[in-house]
Amino acid sequence: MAETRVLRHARIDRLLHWLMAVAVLVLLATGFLPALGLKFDWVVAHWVAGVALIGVFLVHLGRVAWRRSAAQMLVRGRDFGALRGARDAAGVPLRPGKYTLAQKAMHNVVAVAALVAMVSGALLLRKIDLPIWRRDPYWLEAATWGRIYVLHDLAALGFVSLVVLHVYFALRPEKRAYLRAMLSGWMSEADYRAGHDPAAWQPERVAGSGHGDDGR
Amino acid sequence: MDIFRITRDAWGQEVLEGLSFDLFWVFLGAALAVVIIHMLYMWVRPRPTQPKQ
Repeated sequence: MAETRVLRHARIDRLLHWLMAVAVLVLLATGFLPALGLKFDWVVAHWVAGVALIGVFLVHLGRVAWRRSAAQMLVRGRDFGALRGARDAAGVPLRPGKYTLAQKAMHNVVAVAALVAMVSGALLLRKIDLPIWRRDPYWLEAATWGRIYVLHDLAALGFVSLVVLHVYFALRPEKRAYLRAMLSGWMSEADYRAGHDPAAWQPERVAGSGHGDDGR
Repeated sequence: MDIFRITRDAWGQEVLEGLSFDLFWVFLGAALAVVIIHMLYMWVRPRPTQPKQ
């Protein structure tokens, strides 16, 4: 008998996640490898990946606004209770809604780092020739450019740590259901019931064929 | 280890250029330290007991 599955990530959300991942990895490689001694012409790949990241981010924001789903990432008191294994008045263990406290924290820290990197990066585009304008390094004072570089570098360095932690926790055996959900869209009804509060997250059920991609 | 990249302009004044790239290894090392500590914690922590069937 086919297992019951719930839809965790729609196909468009998975696509946006993986596009962001590719863009971030290209940005980190083109940003840090030349500074660490591997010389190559990195500027074009860096700004193209940065503009792509801004585009994907805006699509994601538009989708969140359209679905009014921003509240899913708000950290709530029950998230801390679920983390420490607390129970409600009826003795039922507290469980998170769609996202655990750790997932919310990772998302929100990444969002802040991405915003800083994208805004500062967009300003730094003024210092390079693009198809739509000629570079103008005197657009801002040198000291102001320096502060923008500090913010851009800080966000980029933060992403070095965040990528390592994100990949590590995604590969943990006990997090396998979440990795599979980001690849195929679904998680099993059993994983959903064990790890999430049905009162706080009511996902759509999807057909479970035992193989293939059933995530919409 | 420097925190900032600082250069001098044509008039000899110091100009901030950004954060030192040496910090790359600090941020990478800090993340790897968290990974190792978490792995050790998950390895040595007491397992939750399963209820008997």
